[in-house]
Amino acid sequence: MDNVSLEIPPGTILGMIGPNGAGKTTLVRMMVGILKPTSGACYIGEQRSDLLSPEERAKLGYMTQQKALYPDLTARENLEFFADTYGVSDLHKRGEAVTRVAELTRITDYLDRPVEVLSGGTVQRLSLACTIVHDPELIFLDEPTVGISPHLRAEFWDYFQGLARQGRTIIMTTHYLEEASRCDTVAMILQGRLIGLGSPNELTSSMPLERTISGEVSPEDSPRLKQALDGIAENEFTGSHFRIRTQSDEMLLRAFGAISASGVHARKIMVQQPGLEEAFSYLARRAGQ
Amino acid sequence: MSRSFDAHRIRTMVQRIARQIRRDRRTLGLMIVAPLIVTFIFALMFTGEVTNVPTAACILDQPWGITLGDAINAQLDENQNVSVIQRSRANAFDGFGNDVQAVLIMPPTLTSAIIRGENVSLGLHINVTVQPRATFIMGVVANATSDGLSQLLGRSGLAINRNVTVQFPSPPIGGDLSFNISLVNEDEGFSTVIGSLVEENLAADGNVSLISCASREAVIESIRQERSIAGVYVAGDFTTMILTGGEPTIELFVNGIESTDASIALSAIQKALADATKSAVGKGTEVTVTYVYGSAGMSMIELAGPSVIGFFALFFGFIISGVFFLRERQQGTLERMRASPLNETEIVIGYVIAFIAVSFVQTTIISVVIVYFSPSMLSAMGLLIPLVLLLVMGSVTLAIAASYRMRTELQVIQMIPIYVIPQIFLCGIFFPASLLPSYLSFLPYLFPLTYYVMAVKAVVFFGATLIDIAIPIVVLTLFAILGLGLTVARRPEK
Repeated sequence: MDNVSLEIPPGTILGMIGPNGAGKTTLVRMMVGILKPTSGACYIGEQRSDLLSPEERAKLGYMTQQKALYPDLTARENLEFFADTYGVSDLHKRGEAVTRVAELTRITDYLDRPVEVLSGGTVQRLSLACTIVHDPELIFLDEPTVGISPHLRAEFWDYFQGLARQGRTIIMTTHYLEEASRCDTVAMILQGRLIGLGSPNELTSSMPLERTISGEVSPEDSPRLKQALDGIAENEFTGSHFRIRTQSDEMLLRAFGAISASGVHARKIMVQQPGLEEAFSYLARRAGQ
Repeated sequence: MSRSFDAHRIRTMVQRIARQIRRDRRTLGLMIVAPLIVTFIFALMFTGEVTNVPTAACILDQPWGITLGDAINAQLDENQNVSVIQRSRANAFDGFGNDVQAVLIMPPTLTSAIIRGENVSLGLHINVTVQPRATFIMGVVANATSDGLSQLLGRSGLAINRNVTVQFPSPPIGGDLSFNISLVNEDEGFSTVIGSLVEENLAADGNVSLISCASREAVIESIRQERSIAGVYVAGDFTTMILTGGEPTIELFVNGIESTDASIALSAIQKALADATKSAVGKGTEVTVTYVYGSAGMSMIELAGPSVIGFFALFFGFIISGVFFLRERQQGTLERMRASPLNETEIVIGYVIAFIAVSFVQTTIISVVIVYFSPSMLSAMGLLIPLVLLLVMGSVTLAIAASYRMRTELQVIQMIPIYVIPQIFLCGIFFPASLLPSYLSFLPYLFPLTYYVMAVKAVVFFGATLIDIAIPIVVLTLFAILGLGLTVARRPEK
């Protein structure tokens, strides 16, 4: 990791994106306190993460990239073990906690089966359940949705957002950009460096990236439209088809204004705004220079 | 990371590992049943006696044909001053004092008694007229006997009982020194054939079953064809050589591959030989066996059993905790635990306690088998079990430290020839460490099992107390601390 600095307010979902090997997992491990940075430090609240007391540590939850479950034990035994290590040892409370997370992640029916016979999706749910069985305040999820069905991924996001609503802070890594766009804050990481940080909206709208408007006008209207756009935005006309390129949201709005002011009847208008992917490529290019 | 230990968290670890071991039938079987079976077979093998080892024998030994009586007779015959008249005991004294001046009686046991070192004497009777003649005769006879003796056996010194009658004690006026001697040669010589005695002794020995062979080559051939494990060849002049102080030829042939059987046959042959020479010539290489260590008839299970318990505990403690811990790392559960309130030391302590519990069960079961075969060990159990558990502590912590540095289960298996097997050979269970050449003598001291074996042998065989074995206990504890230290102080991740 190289000179990464970020601050995460409670109750938010931070998504870290970046290609494989960018250093996302390393950063998470430093935040959790398993890995000590060669210089600098991670703080959780007031305490350095590698010096947390067991009580402070009990407020964290960490779902590793691997399933990290005991295949020879049942789902319930796994849940009970991790609950126990986090201090949820009172039998009644532990039982309640297991029931609660099992219901939340919908694995109640599989609780008494050994993990090794469970399907991949169920194992992933159990892994998440083990992470949150002690109701942590700060949850680290390292690629929690990798390799699971889109349907289950959507389900997971419901849990995440539910947890965030309850005031839990979630720090997750992912390489699905559409997931990142659902986060409150996105940290873009490349080769150990933080190249972009902000809400998905901030990240896309603040970048000088191409936004395009395309549509169709009747051939007789096109000269009028072209005239209206000249000097406002770059445009090209092919037959009845037109395409307008702008570099910012402001320009985009001005182009729209020009279209409506021209009074031409444009059909099939489509606006293409940049996504996180474009933002990432732009930031990666900029960081490379 | 905090260094405080929490008993509850450690208990959680122990419960979980115990549950995993219980659930994993194969591992459980491996840890409990396998050592049990091995110990049982081991016990059966080593409490049973090896008997009837086929042993080939070719004994060509011939009796010693020479007698001392003949030798003395020949010596006297050669003397020109002596006329020897062969007589029997009945007419020995005919003409004594007249034409017979001396009578020499050689008893039947003369040769054999000399050889055995028993008391025997010649009877010399002299009846002459003057003293110098008597002196002369005595001198001649003494010379003849000592020459005969040294010629035969390479030594001199034979007592002669003299009975001298001098008729005229005053000195004569010269005269002839020649005399007639009446010789009673009853000497029967040495009839025993030592080689035959060896054969008889061997035949009587239940540990071997004797196969007679006609020649030295036949003995070798018999071993080559695996009809016999060992063979003995005794040359024809064996008895002669033994009696005359020469170099007796006895050759032993062994099939060295069957070392246990061969050593039994060899010791039987050696014993037969020693017994034969002892009974034949009254002396021999007498072997006195004093048991400084253990006692006569101690079986292998009694000698090695207590040490083997430690080996099993070490072996399974090392391999299984190594693999368990490696899995913990590979499947990511270690990572999850490290992010939890559990700290590294608690995790390792949890492992040590869980495996100590398993070893306790394992040791108890193996001990029951060993005590069944060797009840004398029961009294040592009180100290033996804590020693095993101490050994396990070192074994488990070292295994965890090692498995931090391994990537695959194969690498744990690779530790067996590096770490586990050498301990069987080097730590004094079966072979004394002193067999090593001096420049390698440090090797056993690198392994914890050496100290365990040291302590256990002291406890089991010498009735050592806790204080006597303080040093091995301290070293074993140091191994456990070293393991824990290596685990916690592993390479920091970057």
